[in-house]
Amino acid sequence: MITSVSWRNIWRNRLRSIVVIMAVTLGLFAGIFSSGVMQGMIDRRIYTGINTELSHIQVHHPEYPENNEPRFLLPPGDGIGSRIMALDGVEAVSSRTRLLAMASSAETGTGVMVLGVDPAHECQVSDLHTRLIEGEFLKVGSRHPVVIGKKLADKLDIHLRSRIVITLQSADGHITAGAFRVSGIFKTSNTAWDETNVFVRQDDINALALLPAGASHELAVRLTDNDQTVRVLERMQGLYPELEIRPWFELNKELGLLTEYMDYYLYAFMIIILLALAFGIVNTMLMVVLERVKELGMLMAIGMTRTRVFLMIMLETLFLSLTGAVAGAGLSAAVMAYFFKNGLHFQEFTEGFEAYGYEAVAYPYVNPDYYLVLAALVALTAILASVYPAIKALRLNPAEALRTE
Amino acid sequence: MNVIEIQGLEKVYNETVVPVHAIRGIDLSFEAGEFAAIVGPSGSGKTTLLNIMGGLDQPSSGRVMIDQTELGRLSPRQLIRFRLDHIGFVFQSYNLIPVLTARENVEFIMQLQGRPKQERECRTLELLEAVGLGERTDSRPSRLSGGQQQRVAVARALASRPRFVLADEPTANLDSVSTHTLLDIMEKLNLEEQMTFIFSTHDVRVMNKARRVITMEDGKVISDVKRSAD
Repeated sequence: MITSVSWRNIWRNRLRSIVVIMAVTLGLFAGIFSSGVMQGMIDRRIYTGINTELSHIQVHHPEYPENNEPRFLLPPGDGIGSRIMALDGVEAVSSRTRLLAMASSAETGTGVMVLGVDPAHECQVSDLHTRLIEGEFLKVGSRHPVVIGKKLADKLDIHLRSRIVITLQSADGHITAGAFRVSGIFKTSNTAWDETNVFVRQDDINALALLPAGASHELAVRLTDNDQTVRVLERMQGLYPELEIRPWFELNKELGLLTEYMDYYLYAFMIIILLALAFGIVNTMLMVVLERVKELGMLMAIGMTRTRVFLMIMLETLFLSLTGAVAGAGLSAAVMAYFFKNGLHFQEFTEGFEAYGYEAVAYPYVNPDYYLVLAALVALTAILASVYPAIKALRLNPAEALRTE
Repeated sequence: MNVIEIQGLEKVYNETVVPVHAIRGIDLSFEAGEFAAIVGPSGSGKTTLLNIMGGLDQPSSGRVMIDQTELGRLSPRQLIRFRLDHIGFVFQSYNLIPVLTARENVEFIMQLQGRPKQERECRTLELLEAVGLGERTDSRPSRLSGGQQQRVAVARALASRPRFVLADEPTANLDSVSTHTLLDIMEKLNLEEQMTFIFSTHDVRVMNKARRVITMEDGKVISDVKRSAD
């Protein structure tokens, strides 16, 4: 019956309870929704990072990541690629030549990373071909095609079918240059990446750099599922201990950090909100205790133990908080479901977001487990918030409490 | 046989600052089945005496024995349990739990005792019938008159099958009709169930009903008159 009394007690002063419930509801909604927006944006950033920029795993010569020199090639032949492709969980492998170069137009020049790829394989590993805003991805039959980012095109002041000159250091150490024609322009949500990466056919760039046909600096490996990354990585590292094999979260440490940091951030954010709410709850429950001094005195007089009085106050706080938590979680889930489907657009901030590699649209999302942890956190907050008012109640002397008016 | 024995009872408030002697050396005893009123002007020590007899307050010296159990020797936890099982309380301002119905208010105390559901339900209905509220079992206190609420309080006090009921000014907030009804019910329960009732009051109507009237003044018993039942 104590449970029933506690539940009914919270509705004795409806207005006050509704105010507290609303505060918890809105506090949690604000916390969950903003966490969801951030999680959604970061998920998209990671998605783009994996699917457009990095792939899940990359294989390099052990010295290539440090020096980026043309001579640090992967062992010749396609044995490595074929063997990796045969591993469980691997969807596609693309061999890439990566060379630092200078891209020049008639107007100006800038440093870029040239990626020589086999278009057929590259399209299985990367979704860059879907992000073309003009032209085609290394069109078959065209002579020395190059695909560049919109940001680079603007910087070099060139257009589709314009000619650019790529100057680089060949394998023999000499500076060499070749002319390429823009066959496609892509635009991703990462303008810095768009500005610094250009794609050409592997055969074309290998010939220009005097590298053997089929030589490559990098194998980009796409997996069927991101959750398989660590397992496949370990398998690959076991097969090729002499090579540098790294997952996306090490290739781009910012993405790795975001993944780890986001979990802590979401909880820290919610804990701060709950702490703020806790003070409101303590205040309300103190008022409840002070208003009911006589009644609490009567309950203790007729034989209600201190433990039960404590439990009653704690349950009232718990019910008050959890009612708000359920409402807040429900509201958040509904609003997030809407924006997950339709996207939450920040069009006015597109340039700013894309400068940091983020899309200007968020698809808010939080892991369902987050709600469970949140329920536990709310319950813990309520229990902690009830301690002081409950202790106040326990300190009452029944005889004195009964005399209060 | 004595249900309550009070020996050399003293109660001094603010002992270290300005001592106020609320009770000055009282010796009293109450037998089972008494219907007694403790009367006296405000500040005479009636409520303090009742609180000490009910284990709600501690005496400065002296002792209170209830059925051979000395209250002063019980731990706070034992005292709470003792009150629950042996003493019924009726307070001046009804003091029912406002969110519970009449039935639930009466049942609540038996639930604290851990009595089985069936027993609780039977006893609750029996008591509410006895106080004339068989038709209002599902009404919350706010839907009952003052007299009706006090009758629920009496039923609640009896629910735990206590050895005696302490009633502190039970009729102070009631009109004369409700007072008569309440007193008649308590007298009937006293006679039929041999339940001991001890009131603190300055209501003449209660004094007239009581078969023993203990008069207090300045913390002392100045008269103790027993009358036979009419």
